[in-house]
Amino acid sequence: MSKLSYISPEGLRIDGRRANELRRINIQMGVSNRADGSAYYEQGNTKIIAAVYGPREISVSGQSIFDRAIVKCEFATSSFSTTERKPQQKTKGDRATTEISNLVKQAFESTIQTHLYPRSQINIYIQVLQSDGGLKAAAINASTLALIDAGISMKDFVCAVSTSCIDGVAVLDLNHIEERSGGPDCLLSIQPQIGGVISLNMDSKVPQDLFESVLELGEKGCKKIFSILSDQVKKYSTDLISNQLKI
Amino acid sequence: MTSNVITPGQRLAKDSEYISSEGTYTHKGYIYSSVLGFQHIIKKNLNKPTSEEINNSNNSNVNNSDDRDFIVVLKEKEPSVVPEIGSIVTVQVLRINPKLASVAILCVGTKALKETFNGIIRIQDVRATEIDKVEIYKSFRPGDIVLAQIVNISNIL
Repeated sequence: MSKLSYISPEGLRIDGRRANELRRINIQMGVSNRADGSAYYEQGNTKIIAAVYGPREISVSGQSIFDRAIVKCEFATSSFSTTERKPQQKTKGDRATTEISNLVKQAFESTIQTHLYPRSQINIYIQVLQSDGGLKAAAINASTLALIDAGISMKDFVCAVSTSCIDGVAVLDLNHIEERSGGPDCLLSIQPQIGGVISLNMDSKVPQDLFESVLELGEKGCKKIFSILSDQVKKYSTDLISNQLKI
Repeated sequence: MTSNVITPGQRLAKDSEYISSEGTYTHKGYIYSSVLGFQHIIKKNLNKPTSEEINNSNNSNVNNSDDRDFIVVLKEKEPSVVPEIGSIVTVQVLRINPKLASVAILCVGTKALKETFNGIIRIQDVRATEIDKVEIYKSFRPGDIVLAQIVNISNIL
């Protein structure tokens, strides 16, 4: 087998999923006591921790905006997150991580009700523990949960998923091997309840005739992720309250 | 009570039925939640709606008269507050110099801050009358607890 077949004749992908299936999502909220809000997010083998600090006083004076808060995001991958161990200094501040931190920052600047926190800043820190594709989407989803845990006012959840088309089939939630197939990587993030698109990023072009089905699949994926996240968030807060009642 | 946890972005009611208040916002004629918590209806006809007078949504009737009730979503965690222009704050004096007293803001209203904010009391803001005769050394000492109000500097300058 010279060419890797990404979708078998039976319609199964490398990891045994169908084209429209997500990987298993596992989340935990309130994992860090020191942060105002935090969340652990696991999608397949991609594992991420997000922590939110704020709203707090602006650290660099002169950056404050008089009628709203500023959002800052720092994204870092740990040196042990990929199969090839990277030296520590290259895991932060390179092009790829800056791109992701800007993406997360922009996504939440429009979703957080920043006018409620004038002259303050909200910091989002994202740390990748294990990387297996879909990092951007996982970073956004993890940040949403951490912000909810911090009690910061938001218009809606932000749910993101990566989609692509491989061999003419629209495929949802790529893993690392599929990401490297050279096919287009299309990241869609939406506000699932009030219905708005936060961002739609495409690395290389999606064929025009397939674009609609890719987008539709992405929207379905985001809605599915939203239902998983909101169920888990409700379960988390119900657990918190039942623990409170016991004490 | 445990069954209806409200998550951000959840649609709560029509704009015409309630007045959007803390933890909620309006969008295209509907009221949505903006935080994680529980929905409460605060009766408008009560003079001072305090936390004891908050009724649960289950046992309160929707008021059909003109004055709508407030709808709020409260978190199970203490919400983090931020000092705003006009808010009454409790501060502690850290350092003084002839021109100003630098302070740490401890509380906003009745809520204590998790992390203190820095502030200054300028010599011209110490009192309302005889501003030119104020001496910081005679007004404050480090460690003093002061009740103060946040003023808008951009309006004064």
